[in-house]
Amino acid sequence: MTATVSTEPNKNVKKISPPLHNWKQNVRGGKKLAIILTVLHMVAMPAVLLSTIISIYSHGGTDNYAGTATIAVLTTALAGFMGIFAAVDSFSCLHNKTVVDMKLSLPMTAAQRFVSNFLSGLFTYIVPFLTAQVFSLLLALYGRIFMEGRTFYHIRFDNVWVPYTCDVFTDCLPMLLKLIAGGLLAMLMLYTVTVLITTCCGSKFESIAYTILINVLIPATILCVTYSIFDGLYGFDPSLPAVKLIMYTSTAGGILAAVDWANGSTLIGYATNGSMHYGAWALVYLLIIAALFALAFFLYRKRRAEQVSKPFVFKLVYYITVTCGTFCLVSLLTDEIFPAIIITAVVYMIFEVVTNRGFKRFWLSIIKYVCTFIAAAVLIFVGQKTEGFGSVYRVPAAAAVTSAEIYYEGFYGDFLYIETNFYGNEAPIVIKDKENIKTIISAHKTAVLDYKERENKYGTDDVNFYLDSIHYKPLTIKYNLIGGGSLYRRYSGLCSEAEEILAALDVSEEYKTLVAETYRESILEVPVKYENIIESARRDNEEYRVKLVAYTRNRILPNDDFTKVSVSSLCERGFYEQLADAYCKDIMAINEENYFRSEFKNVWTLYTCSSDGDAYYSTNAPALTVPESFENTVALLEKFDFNLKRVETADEREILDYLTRAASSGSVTLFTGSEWSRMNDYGSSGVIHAQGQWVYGEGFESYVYDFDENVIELIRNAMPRNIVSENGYIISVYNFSGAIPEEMNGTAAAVTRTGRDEEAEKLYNEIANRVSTTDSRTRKAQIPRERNFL
Amino acid sequence: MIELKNVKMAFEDFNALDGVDLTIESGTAFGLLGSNGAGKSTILRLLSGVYKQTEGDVLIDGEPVYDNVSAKQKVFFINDETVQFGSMTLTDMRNYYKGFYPNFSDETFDKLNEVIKLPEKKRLDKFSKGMKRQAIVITGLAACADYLLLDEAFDGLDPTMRIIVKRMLVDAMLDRKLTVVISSHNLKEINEVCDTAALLHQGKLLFNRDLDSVKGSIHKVQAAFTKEIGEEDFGELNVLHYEKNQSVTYLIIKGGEDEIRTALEKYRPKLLDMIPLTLEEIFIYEMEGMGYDCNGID
Repeated sequence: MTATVSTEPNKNVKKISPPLHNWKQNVRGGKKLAIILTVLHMVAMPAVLLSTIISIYSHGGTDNYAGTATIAVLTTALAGFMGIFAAVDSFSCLHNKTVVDMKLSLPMTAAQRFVSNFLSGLFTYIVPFLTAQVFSLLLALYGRIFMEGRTFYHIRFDNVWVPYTCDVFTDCLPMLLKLIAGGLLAMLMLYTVTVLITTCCGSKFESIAYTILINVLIPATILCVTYSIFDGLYGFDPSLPAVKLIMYTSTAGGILAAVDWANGSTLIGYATNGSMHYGAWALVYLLIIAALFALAFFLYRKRRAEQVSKPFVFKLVYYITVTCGTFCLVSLLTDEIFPAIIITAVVYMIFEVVTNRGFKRFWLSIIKYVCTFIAAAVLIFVGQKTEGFGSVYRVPAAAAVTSAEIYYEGFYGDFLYIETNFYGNEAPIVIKDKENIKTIISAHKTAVLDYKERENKYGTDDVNFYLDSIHYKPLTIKYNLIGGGSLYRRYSGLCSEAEEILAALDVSEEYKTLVAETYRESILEVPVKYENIIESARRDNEEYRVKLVAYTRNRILPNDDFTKVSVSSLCERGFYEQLADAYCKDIMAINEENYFRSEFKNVWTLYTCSSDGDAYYSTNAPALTVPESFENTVALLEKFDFNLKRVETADEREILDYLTRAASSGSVTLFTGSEWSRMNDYGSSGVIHAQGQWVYGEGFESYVYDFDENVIELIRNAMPRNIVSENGYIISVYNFSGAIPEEMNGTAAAVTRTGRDEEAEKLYNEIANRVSTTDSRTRKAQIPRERNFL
Repeated sequence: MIELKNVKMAFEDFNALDGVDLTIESGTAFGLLGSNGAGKSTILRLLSGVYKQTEGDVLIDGEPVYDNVSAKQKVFFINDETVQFGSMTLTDMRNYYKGFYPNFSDETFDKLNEVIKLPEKKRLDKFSKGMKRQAIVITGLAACADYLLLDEAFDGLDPTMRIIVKRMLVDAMLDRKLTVVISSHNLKEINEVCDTAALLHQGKLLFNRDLDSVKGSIHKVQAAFTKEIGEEDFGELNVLHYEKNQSVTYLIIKGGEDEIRTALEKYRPKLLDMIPLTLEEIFIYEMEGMGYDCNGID
């Protein structure tokens, strides 16, 4: 045979890196997908920013975002979803028989091949996203540097040039950076999960289908099972463990966290009571991704080339899917056992038949189904019967608690009340003092024991089991435990005994100091916020002023027209600094004496309003409550010429007019009974009228129709709260109510007699006599029901 | 040198290889023969590190192959598929393998392609099956690996191209002591290229010898005897096939020519012709001896 060509070996042996070369070749192979992903990402965030910039330049304002934003969300979602294909295609040798020989015979170890395949697919998936986000950042930076703070004009329909001061780009940059970081993590999770599932499957169909199923079923199962066990449990908010678990265990949770992180914790922040630390989340999420990566690598090394084209190489992924599906369905059908059995059995068997490609060893499928169903049913049944595996009754030992974060309206929910939205402040009060922690724990224990007692006595189906709505004042506690753990409970209401224990906290130095500091920060933020607006308006030659308006808010007379004091002041830092000092001083002056037995009758509310000439516009600014007992604050306001009008000086005619109007559109009512022996302020809850004609306790209600001088006297003297030794009275107008001082019980009784519903009272007494138990709560709860039926 | 020591390979409940011992010397052309499912492709996949043996050792130059980069860099495996390269051009294919094989020679690649003249910029899925095979063969040769494993190497090639490819292989063997392992059902080609061959059946090795000795170890005999002699009279010989047509007896006998002739001379034959067998005939008769034949099929 004649030699054709010399094939002598290459003398110049090159230094090569097969894994790097494999990575490059795979990236080349993913070129088309990368182009599609780049286009999808570019029409998302960069397009939204670009259209905003164009809109501001061309129309002097931002257009409606809905269209571009919808497209952006859809294309981002689609691009995110396509990560599944990036991963599956990078590991073609796991499901494509024709490339197995070619890929696996290449001189690389399994580890090198796995890592380079993983990184190449990830590169194809992530780089288009990052490219688009670089454009987004550049656009946002451009807006921040060249447009922010500038005024643009657009012409209105009536040919008036309307100014628009650009203010969208300052917040945009940090939001974008958080979105990119969170988005990257979510994408990494989806990609790694897909690689893991592809490693477990031997065909492309199973790899894609089970990636989708697992990504949907894991969060769905967490949500369904958690809600079926924990929903409705006393103090337990199932959204907290559910959302937290989902955030750490799924792509959907990652997306949720990313959006929430960028958006300022409005969703998860709510569910976790603001206790979400995204840095920690990102770290844990990354560790979970790393663990999934390690598992995928371990399984990849265990895999054999000959297993390609089998539906499942490792059935782990299949069992996770059918188990999640069964748990999900069982938790959705907990009340209907037979439909639950039938539906789960049908679904399970369909999966088994499809996976086993027929009915071979069907008896084994039946056994597996029965075991899975029993596991799901037992978990949910035990969880429900033990009230979340005893979580309801879990109260930590004081020694184990480092601090307790509470959201709490104060014992009587009035002036020492951190409004959660007060000037945007949503931070909880963090209690570290051991004695105060013990107080909280003691109140918590009492509430839980009371709950247990009611449960044992009535069962959860009985109306008596539930707390009266008078107690519906929210309390949220998060105990930070030694060792880094935490225990979180959210109560919509506590029993009276627990409330009374907790009352000691209100007048503690620590609590008052923390509350005062919160108020100080919030008050000092007001001028900063409004000075910017005023300055901006001044640049545009606009007149824009901020005024402070005080309304007298006796609980009985909240009507603006009647009580408006309308004292204004320009927004000056000096004033607010003094206001903060005075207000904090007044908070610190609160003691048991003036707190529990409040003598003041007037409460003023300070609103910050914007004004354009003489017209006031609501700024949605929250209010600052100034009770009459806050001497320093009251003195300061008067020094600044606030004409603080007091109710006792109100004109008789005005009060009568007001009462007549109130009676025509609602009612003026007097309540009395032993329940009111310790008068609470019902104003914030408004429970009485919200509940129609219900009366709590051994008392009755009396409609008032004759507005004589006695009624006017009662109104003038009604207080936010009072403690009386005998039965007391409450007067209610609209949704507002006030306690009548003990010395005026005679007057109140006289007014009551004028409008007393004799028939209803008689009926009530009959019902009350029939009640065998002497427990006041039993009667308390029964009476409203009976009365309601009447 | 390639060594398989007591290699077993099981796919779930099927034993593809059952204790195979095989040695292939460097610089030789080795043919793997066998029935369908005998385990030929499995051996090639074990040698290229695609599969991991269930038991035993698979060694290239004394090193285990599986998950071993240095051993795998000495081996280039061309399987019987070509669809996997569909999206590549010839240039892409060259660049693809160049990054994996340190000895890859562009010069060799270009020279080989000058001979077969394949278009370099056209995607391989536009190529015919034979052209794809030519492409992968020249790439495999240009990779300059020490061992070239070919599964159904000549499938799809036209007669001229078969000759060219065979020449290329032989040249590489001469130039750089390339070891070629060919698995094929086309015994003629094995016969032409290989100097050693192994026959596999149901995962077991039937023989492993150089082809000349294989051919000399089995003979077709055409004889006519003066008296009536039946099959049972040849008990001392290893008769693989016996057939009698009137007075002429046809025998396929395993053994050396002299040994057979001496044994048959005892019956004083009127006619005794010894005809050498082709490799294909040897394959058929050997397999028939293992119960793998076409008898019973009309």
